[in-house]
Amino acid sequence: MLAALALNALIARLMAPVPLPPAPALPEPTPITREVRPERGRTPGYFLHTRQDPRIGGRLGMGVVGFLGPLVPARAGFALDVVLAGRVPASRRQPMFTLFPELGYSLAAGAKHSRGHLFTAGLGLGGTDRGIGVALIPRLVTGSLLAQRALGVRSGLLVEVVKVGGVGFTLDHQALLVAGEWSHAVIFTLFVGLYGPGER
Amino acid sequence: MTRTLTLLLAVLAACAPSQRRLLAARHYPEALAGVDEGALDGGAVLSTIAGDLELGAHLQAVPSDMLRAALPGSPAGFDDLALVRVIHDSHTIPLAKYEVSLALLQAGAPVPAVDTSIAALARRSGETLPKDQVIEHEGTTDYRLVVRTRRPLLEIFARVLVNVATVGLLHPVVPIVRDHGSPAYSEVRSPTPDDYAQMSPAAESLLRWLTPAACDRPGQRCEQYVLWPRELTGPLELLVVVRIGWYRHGALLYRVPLPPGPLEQGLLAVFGDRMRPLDELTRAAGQRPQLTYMLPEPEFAGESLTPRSRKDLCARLGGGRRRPGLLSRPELRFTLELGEQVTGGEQQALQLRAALLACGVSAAQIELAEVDGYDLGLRVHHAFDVTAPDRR
Repeated sequence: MLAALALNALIARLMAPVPLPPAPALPEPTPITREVRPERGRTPGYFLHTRQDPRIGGRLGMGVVGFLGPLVPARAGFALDVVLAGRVPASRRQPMFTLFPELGYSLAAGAKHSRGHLFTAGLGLGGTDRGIGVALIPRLVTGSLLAQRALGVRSGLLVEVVKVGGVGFTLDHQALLVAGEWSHAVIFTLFVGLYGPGER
Repeated sequence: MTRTLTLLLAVLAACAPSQRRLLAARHYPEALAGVDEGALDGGAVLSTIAGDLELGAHLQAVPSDMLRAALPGSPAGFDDLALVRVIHDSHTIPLAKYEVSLALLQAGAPVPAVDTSIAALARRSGETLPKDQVIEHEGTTDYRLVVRTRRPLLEIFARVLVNVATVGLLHPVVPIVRDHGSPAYSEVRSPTPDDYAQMSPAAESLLRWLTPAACDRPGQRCEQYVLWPRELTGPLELLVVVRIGWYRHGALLYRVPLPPGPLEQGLLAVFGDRMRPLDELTRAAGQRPQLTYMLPEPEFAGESLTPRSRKDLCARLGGGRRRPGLLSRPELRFTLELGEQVTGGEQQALQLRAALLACGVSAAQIELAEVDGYDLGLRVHHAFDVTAPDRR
């Protein structure tokens, strides 16, 4: 045991760096009083990022539509959305202010022949950051509901997590003028989306 | 309320943040990115950073007898050199790093650098240097049977048979055994720092003192040593160059004249026994600190400057209603930095010079410098005054 300790001490002495003298000790100058001057708030991030390229793609969503009011005989039905959509970053800040243009077809099919074929066109405003997008999208809607001509608006919230492919949901309110009467509906869909080029 | 509303509107309109706002909130990395892009005024950004850093420094030469006493063996070979201790610090500001370098100027030109290689220092201290160690490694042999199939006995029998039948002529193609050993070789080992410390302790000590420790963060107190000639005649000037953050193109330059006389006395007269703000020292000597940065790279169509680039340049020089142009800056100079590898660079440089002249710059304010690179860049230098931004 003692021999091992002595051997270790000898090895440590042999391996230790050769001591050299420190730099000459000059007197310390009187310092200037220093302070911490912190950044105020979060940096906007505009010049630290570059504007990203627009992306184009589509989404296929399925969900439920709930009809409000007496015009549509069914209370609820199946909702299908097929949408051609774009993501146009309009800012360099993170999260990026983004335009959400879209064109789509929407099917609402409930019991008692309450079927609607609608075409939508909208331009949403929202933000995107690393593939996560949130937007409010107002749309013009035209087509047929209950076999009658329909015209109105659909507006709502879209939340998605899409890099190249991904998922999300929409929650919309729809107001349609059908045969001189307003028909209201709430639509919730889950969708799969695909956009290109992929999120950087 | 108005501020919040303006901010919200700016975000909605996806506008770039204003230079005033970035500087007031000390968003310096982003402001430097804006300068690099050419969207923000480099002079305003760098001068604000300089004011906020408020760099202080203290230089003191180690007396020659003290230096001799501190070195092992007390060598006299360094008596003609001054070991100068440099201390610098700053306020802590939101900037990743800055680098300070110093140079001693004599009549406006840098004094010849002292050779601080270990060999040169050892020559001065009269010490011998450790030699490279040559280690001869002997070759080794390791013969192994060559077996490539799953039937080793049969394979070896076949290989032996082939070699016997061909009197060994086919052995390189059908080998029986192969040598897996290594040939003899010589290894050259350079001396380690410990070898230097044993053989030439004075030179190695000095070299270690002169090697600067990593110290580049705002708020850190940095100490380093430099070796300058002790006896210099003629007007001496200290040049301190401060490179800011990752933005390598921009720098602050402080020139501090030293009073006539020996270097040691000059440093003592200027710095005394306290840290001194560099800005204050420069102004006390009747000079103004300078800054330098690159303007956005000019665009050329062939050898001629594009009309858009020409227009941008004139707008930058002349300024606008809200932002004064570069022509109003004191001690303004331009350097056309011509990369050695630029094809047709001379014509482009002439075009750029003509554009500068047309925009109101005088010929005396323009100089040409050849640099290593592939681009033609336009560097601007001017004096600056520190002004605190409105931080409301």
